[in-house]
Amino acid sequence: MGVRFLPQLAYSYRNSHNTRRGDRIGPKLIGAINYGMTRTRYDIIIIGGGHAGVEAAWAASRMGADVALITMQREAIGRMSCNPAIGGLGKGQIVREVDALGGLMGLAIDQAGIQFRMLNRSKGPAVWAPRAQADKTLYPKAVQELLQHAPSLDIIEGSAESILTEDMPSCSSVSSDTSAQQPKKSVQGVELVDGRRLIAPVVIVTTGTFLRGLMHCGTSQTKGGRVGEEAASGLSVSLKAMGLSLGRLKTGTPPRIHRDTINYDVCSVQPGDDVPTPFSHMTDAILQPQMNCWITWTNEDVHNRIRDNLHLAPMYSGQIESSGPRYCPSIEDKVVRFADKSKHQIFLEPEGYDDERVYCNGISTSLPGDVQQAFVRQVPGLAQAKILQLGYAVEYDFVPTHQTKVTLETKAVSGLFLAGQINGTSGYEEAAGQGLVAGVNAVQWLNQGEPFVLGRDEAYIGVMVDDLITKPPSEPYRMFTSRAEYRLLLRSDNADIRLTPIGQRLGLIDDKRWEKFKCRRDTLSHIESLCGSGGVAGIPLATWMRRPEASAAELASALYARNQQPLCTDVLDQVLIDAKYAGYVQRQAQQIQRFKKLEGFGLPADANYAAMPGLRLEARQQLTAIAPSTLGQASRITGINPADVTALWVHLTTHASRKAI
Amino acid sequence: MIERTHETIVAISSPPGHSPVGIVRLSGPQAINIVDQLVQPSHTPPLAEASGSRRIDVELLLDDDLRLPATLFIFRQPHSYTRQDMVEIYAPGSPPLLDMIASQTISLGARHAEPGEFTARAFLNGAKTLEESEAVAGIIRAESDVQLRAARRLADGSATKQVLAVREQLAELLALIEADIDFAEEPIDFITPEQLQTGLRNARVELDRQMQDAQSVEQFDNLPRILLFGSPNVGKSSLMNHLSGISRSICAAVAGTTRDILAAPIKLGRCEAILLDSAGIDQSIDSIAAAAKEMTLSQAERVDVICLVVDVTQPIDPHVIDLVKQLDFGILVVAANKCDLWPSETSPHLTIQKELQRLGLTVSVNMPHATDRNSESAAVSICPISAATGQGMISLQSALLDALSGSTTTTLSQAILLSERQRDGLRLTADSIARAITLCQSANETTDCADLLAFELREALEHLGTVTGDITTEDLLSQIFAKFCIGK
Repeated sequence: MGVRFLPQLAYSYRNSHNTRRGDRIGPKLIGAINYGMTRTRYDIIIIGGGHAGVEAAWAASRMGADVALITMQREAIGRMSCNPAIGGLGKGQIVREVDALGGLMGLAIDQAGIQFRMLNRSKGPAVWAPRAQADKTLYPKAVQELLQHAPSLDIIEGSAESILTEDMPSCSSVSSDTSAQQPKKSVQGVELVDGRRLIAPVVIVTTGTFLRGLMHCGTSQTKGGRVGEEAASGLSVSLKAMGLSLGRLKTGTPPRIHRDTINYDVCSVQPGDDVPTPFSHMTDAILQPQMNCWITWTNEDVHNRIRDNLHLAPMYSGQIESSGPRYCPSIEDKVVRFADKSKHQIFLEPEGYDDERVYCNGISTSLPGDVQQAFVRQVPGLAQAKILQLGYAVEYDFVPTHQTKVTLETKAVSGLFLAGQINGTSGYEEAAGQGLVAGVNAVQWLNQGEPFVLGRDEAYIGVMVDDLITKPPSEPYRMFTSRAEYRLLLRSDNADIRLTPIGQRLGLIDDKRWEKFKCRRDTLSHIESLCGSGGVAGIPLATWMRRPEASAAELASALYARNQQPLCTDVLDQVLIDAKYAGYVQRQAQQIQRFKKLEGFGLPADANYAAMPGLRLEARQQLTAIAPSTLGQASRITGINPADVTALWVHLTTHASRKAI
Repeated sequence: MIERTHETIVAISSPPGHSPVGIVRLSGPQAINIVDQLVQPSHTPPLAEASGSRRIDVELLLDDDLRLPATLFIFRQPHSYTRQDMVEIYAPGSPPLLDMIASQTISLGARHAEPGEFTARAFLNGAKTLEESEAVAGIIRAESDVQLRAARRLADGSATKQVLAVREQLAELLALIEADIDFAEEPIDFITPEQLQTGLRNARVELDRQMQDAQSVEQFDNLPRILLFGSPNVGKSSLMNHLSGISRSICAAVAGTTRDILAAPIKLGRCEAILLDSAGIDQSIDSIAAAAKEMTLSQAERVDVICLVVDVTQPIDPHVIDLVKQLDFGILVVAANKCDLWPSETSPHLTIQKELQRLGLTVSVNMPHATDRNSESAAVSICPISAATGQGMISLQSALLDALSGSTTTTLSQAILLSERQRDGLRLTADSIARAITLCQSANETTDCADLLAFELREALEHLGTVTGDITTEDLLSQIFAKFCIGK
């Protein structure tokens, strides 16, 4: 590995009360993770070691910040709370993007994956999505090992009790009535449950389901964010005290059963791809053995058992009132809402090579243990099944995202960033993407640099953050490819081309990755230049490449005479994909041009929408609540129509020109 | 519309329905070029070469055998209302002819203007005072609201349910394709290639049928309409401002060119109507007016009440009265404007009445309800007003209301009524569907083109949105979740 360039931060803290610690000379050496508590001052403190927390810690530390990551147990870092899989539609693209920006998730799953599949192979490459089953023991291990290489990261075991803040000095130039969106407080640090205090000007909260987490299994309720792990309750109080309003969401998980108690003969097998495709561009090939998953189905007996016991299900007894995701209903929901269906699919997913637990994907439930045991045993193949962990529903606090900026910093508290499920999302991948955004923006904030904002035309991560702030979710938000209007551009195959240069400018990309990227990019453009001439079977190459039968092998032989370098299939495939989409990409480019015009029109944070004529009441309320930062964002807010956008634009243009004069 | 100011827009700017002179306006970088291609080449040197703003009499070549006399007013940027290159085409005011001119410019690269778009551009490129900006916002809001209401009214009609049905069909197909992409691991066959092809074909056939049936009418067609008519400078615009309550300082600032809108919604008691401002009847374009009459008179009118505006301090232009008679409006309300300047103590009533009678209009002050459209002499009620001081406005409003309730208002045709912009929407929708069908046919075992199909269908729905309102991703997802049990 070459010498890494890590920019020395010349922090100019906005808050003069924070004094820069003078003892930091440079990045710490590899492996210098400090588990002790010798230091108390950091640049950035991250609360939570889940998928958002680790990406935030990794990105910020790579960019040169001194980072402390607070977690209840250090061996729980990177743990997978729910399903043993990474990727899928929309999600797989996010993992590729995180990887292209130098993140951890792709590298970790390539090491810890036990079954790889490329979904949607029969469809266009724009919607291909990598997915992998993970070994639940190896995955967090891989993440923890990768974190060892973080240049300056302390991992601190403990539970955060409150976020320390102080009032902002009031800003005299802003009158009090328009300052609703100006932060009133700024971050000072974090106090732990045991009374220890850590000092930093930036705190990133990534608490997942742990904020006042409450697990339901039948009528029994247990405080906690995950089985066997405590909840964080003080933090909710602290967030409220800072002026943030909290909402409540629900999600659920299915029972895990012992792998030796399954009769596989009556299940159908689901193998992985013959040639597994890695997530990370840094992984050349997946060499570990692949495992099978199995499929079975529920039946009417199962459904009847569930119906008979519905009164015991917290979702139906009124014990849980918060809303769960529509795309991931519990088996209770499925049986009630789709009463006409006689069976529902269950994927039996091993949780690891040596793990005896098998995850029953498709029957998430919060019914009491004896009911779970009874209905599981009525499923074909599971008659002898031994449940190792019961399914449960978990309710947790989140911070509705109208309170959050596009950088994932809260509007109310300067220096406080939120990422992951606390923003109302669901899924490891969504959390990882946000963690990266928050981590980078935290460093940019410290350096008073440009905010790191990915556009809807640049990345799924950009689509997600924009959706969150313009349409605050009322159910856990999950990525779908249909959310990305520029889907044909945001492919999993070109994530590195789209994003690695951006990551490089930010300091997220190490030399090895950058060299590899440059090589791939140069080869791509070299081949593309060769494709300008020549042909296959008398057809010009450029035309032939758009045909469905065009293959990498044929392209290689067509180019053979003129090409001196060996060509890898990966790059040839990419060239063919680019050619196939060229016409559509051009059409999308026109849409993007229009999109960007609105995006480039900034809105002042102190705009007084209530007093703006020409806006409907609903528009005024929505704009006041969300305070979009660009006209483009405003146009995507639920309830804003084109006439509102024009009215907004007219007024703000007027104000801008008056101010200029 | 803000993001598309580099595009050239076109609109029929004269009031809906028949009028002696119709105006088609274009604004944008390609405006002059586009019109240039419509002009008989032998007549003039290329317009693009003409310097400065000017007026040119030309013949437009609309078809192989259709030549139309027209007057072009060319305004070069920044000396135009929008501060862009603009062309105003003055031609006979027959709706089919004006539609034809507009369609031709569209085939040459223009597109239909959105509500308020000319004003928005004027604002973008012009002076920006707070007062002006409020006026602009008001205009845009008013026009959009009227369109919304019109759309809602359309939605209630049985005929337009058909357009909505096509949208539902397309949205369902798209939802199924999206589900097929995003929920690839579900054991559900969301849609088979055969179902998809059949669905697309049905939608296409249905759209084609509707486009054939659809009558192109103005956007506000299903509200009763009042036309303000009169010579230039009698105060039509001020009256329009007064009645519609929209302050149009911008219009005043650029008097002499034209305004962005010549129609505005007004409230008369419980009744809602559209107030239309006619182009000033200009002596200099008599020949066009004459050509227009021929066509105008031969077709049915779509104005319910005419409000003749006269200036009490000036003699009434006999030319105007001739046109009124020829245009054959059954119900006439005369707004005798500038009464505040009337010198004598007596009411101007009688004087106006006599003058109108002298010019051949029978005036019966107490008979606002006469409906005899075929009569040589129309029934008239006279209201002395002053648009400057607001005097007499209430009685004018009630006279208009009376006139409206006496008119045989609008029997909505069973055919679908669509604006040109909406017809464009249907046409573009059909094009997208055609491309989707081609894609379907090229699909095979290994590639089903779902990603590209979704792209085309999204575009189709976007175009159809101009007629029926937009479909959002959330709508699609809700449809999927409502219909299918999704969730591993």
